Amino acid sequence: MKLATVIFYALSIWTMVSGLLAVSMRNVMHCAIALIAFFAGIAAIFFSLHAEFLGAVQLIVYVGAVTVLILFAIMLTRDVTGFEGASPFSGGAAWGWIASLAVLGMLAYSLSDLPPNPGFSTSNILTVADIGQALMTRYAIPFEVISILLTAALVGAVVIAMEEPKGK
Amino acid sequence: MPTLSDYLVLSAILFSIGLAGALTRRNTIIILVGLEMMLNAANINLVAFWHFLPPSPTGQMFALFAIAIAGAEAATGLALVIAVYRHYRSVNAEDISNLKG
Repeated sequence: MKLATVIFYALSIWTMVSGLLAVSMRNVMHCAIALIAFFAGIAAIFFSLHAEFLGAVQLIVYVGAVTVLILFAIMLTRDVTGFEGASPFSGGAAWGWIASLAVLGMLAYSLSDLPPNPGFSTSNILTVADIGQALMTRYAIPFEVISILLTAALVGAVVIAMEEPKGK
Repeated sequence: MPTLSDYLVLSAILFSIGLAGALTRRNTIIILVGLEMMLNAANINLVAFWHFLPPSPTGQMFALFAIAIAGAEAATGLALVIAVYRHYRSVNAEDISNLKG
């Protein structure tokens, strides 16, 4: 077996196991820790696909920022241990599992008649300079729109989470 | 060598895991975790298509914008969770039932 294949299967098992743990563990704090492992595994998959910049962005945004946000939200909304007394799953959880398995079946069915594989391309290389150039030329307008969206989300998050005035 | 369909299958499995988390959990924070996992699975698709199909930066740029939108979604979602917690003293989706008929 080639090294790339071994790495792919190792990363697949890593992300699947950490993902399953992140949605099924009883302690919310442990879920967040498993989520860090999941995000790091996704970053490793990006690296193995030669998308180095995206892997770095994934590490910075998800492992760095989003998990910290989630940990803060957990600690602000319950005691620090994060233990959930009753079952962590909702009443109709069985239907949720059935629905997600059905979605997986549909996706597997649509993937079963994929056209012949285009094969491994080594010529597809995108440097950070290329990405910067594309952001400033062809993707300039989406780039500006996304910065407005991020600003709006930032202001919105602050307004939503702000303490309500006493008079209301 | 892993092929394009290997990555697509991995992405489909991770998407289903995230969907299961969003549908079955009681805690709204873990529901958001499931959403983030689904967005990440979709990003694997975009990057895999970029890697295996003829050169064009579109797949990676799309994934980059998707990451930015997911960051905005996480920030607003968790702010909503905190606002709901302040009002109901709970983050369980089942306790937030004021609109239930």
